[in-house]
Amino acid sequence: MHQTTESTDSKPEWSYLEFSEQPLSDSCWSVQTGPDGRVYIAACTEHTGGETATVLRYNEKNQSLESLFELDKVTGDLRDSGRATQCKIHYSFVPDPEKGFLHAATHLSGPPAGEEHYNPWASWSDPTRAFRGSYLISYDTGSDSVVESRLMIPKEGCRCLAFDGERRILYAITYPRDHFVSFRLADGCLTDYGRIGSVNSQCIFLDHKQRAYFFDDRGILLRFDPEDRMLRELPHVYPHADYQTPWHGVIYDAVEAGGSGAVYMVPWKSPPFLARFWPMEGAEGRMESLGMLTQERDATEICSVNLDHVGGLIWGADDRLYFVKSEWTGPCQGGRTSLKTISKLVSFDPSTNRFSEHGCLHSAVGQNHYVSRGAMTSGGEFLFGKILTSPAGVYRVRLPGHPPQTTPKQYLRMWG
Amino acid sequence: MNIQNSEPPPVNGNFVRRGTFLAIPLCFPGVSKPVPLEESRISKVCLSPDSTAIYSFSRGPGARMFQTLPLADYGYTAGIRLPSGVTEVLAAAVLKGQEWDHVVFSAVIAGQTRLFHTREILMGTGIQEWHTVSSPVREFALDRPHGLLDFVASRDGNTFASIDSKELLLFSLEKKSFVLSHTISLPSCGAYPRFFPTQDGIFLLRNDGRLLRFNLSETQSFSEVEALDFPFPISSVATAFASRSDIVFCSNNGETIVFDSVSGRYREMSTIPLLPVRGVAQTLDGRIFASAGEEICHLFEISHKEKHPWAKDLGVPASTLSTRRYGLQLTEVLCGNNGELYFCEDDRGGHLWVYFPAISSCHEMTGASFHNDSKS
Repeated sequence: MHQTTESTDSKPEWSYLEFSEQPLSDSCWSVQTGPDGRVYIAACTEHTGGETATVLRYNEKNQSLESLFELDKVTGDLRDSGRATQCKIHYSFVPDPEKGFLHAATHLSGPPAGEEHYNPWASWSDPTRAFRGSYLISYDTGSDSVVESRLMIPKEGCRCLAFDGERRILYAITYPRDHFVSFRLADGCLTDYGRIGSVNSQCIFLDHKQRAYFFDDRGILLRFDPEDRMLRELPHVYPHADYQTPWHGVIYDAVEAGGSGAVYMVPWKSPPFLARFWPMEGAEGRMESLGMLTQERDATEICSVNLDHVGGLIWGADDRLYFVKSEWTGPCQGGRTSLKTISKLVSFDPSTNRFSEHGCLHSAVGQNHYVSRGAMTSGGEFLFGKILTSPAGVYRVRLPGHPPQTTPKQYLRMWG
Repeated sequence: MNIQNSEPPPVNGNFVRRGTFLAIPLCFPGVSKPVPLEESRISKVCLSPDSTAIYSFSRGPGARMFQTLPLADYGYTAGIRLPSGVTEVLAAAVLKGQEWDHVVFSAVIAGQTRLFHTREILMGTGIQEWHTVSSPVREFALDRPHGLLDFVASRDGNTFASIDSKELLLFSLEKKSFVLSHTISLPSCGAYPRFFPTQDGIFLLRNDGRLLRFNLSETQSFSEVEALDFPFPISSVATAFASRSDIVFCSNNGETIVFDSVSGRYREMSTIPLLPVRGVAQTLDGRIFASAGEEICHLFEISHKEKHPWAKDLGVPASTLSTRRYGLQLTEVLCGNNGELYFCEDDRGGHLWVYFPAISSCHEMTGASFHNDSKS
């Protein structure tokens, strides 16, 4: 099923904010609303050896970015250590409203200085080059200071993070071993629930009972229950095209519909289908497919999972789902570097089941089809992370008539 | 992680590109549902006498036995649940029967080791139509609190031997079941709890470093082999493998030695630089392969040229044909009759891994391995 999308007259006001103070940055994987209603951004550097990532904050008053801290300096794992670097935050910002903190878990892929690539599997046992591990950085948004930085997952990166604020426990998927782990903030206890597969789920989401959900590489939905600390398979497979197997049906992004309990999801899979999951319905929840989101194409061509892409899910203050999808012209093969690509901001209105387009996002440089994450400021602006260019940056979007937020519950998302 | 300096790990390593790995799922893909991730940690593997069937056993709650037929028009895996309470299979062997193969295995239930047998799962071919028939798993009534630690079968399939900490036990087939027919006390110094079946007899490694040889068809006594003293403490043997005429031993420090049962001498090979060594095997042409590494393993090829030792890191196992998966925890390994190697994957979501060594390595064969060929 492919969705019909309408164009709207309500064109957004938008701009592109480049990470000009981080000229080597090449990606922005995390954009998250903090407990203070401001948006925090990761300027990542994964393609230049011996570099590190910087955490930025968006200033809504003057529509600018301010640099807060560099990962290597606050973790003590310096960029010139000779090891794989603390090069990014990858879907691993979570707000902590009780403390006013933003927690950030670091990730790997940036090679040591002087190298071009880093293979985390083959270099796992390398005594001098192997990644030290994912550090958890707790940033006090009130005092504007890093209050704690500690090694959370030795030797591995943190692909994605979720936060159970009631129990003060973080959940993460590790990379490269693809283990599901929990980390108790009070005492730093890391519990490993074992390997999931070979393809990381790119997102963990929580329900109202603080149960954690994600998918494995078979496209099967898994649920961790903090009451009995069991990880279970649920009888749901991520929706996919008829000609495909469920393989690689891991979610890319997910957002809750404004406290309703319904969770909207997109996969890290081409072509991406929109799914809606009702975790509180019945013992195992209920899954719906809302159809394919991107353009029709010749399915006999192999299309990059990163070209045929949807990301940046935000639940708007107007009770609509917003996301950014890729669009390109011509055959999709060879699309990573040679195709001219754009991103389109789209909304979905669950009251009518209709999709609406709100215009294109494109910067002056690089390809424009890949948006990672999105977040909303307390003032109701949207920010979307962009990769595929250096320096990287974020798109800032203000939709006409889109209201500001009123309560933290509306804009805080407890997973990266 | 203890890494020796004899050969450093790769500076910019990669996945295995020399030879081919395939991860075989523990199901009939497209037909049956894969077993739960937690019930697929494969910790033990054995081969049928004709090497056409691979039997593997998962450990943990919900342990299972799997039978894989990779050849001809089969190409799938069938499984059965092991008796309730079984958490790990310590040893297993397949005996060739007149109608079907028998599988015997010792398993841990509530801390006690018990002995079971079943038969092969009868499997129909796997393209046009298929079926499976399994038989129940039955327990031997046998009081062996110290456990049965290894098995070896006679070529005719009528007899098999097992070993505990004190005795060698001989079983014979009677009325489609097995009975304990003899016990033979082990020498007072005890033995390393593994059989090493070669074409020159079945060997046991005594704790003092001497090797004992016996033959299941003659059986009543051991003969001591005039071998050099074992070059490292028996307690430090990490893993071992018996091929047609060689027995390969790897120590906890990665040292690799080969005992040649024909010449009766040891050859010292290279040291594997990544520890622990999880599994070692020798192919029919004499090449030695080992899986090593604690959390993410690498495949090593060890030179069998005694005077020019090397241990080549072939990389991290990965499978893309058939299943797409990284092989991070490959442990015990066996060699099939076609020269392929079968690895246990002792991990959640584990598969049976098969490795086809690159044929280009044949030019590196030494006189020793040609000597092996001449004996067959």
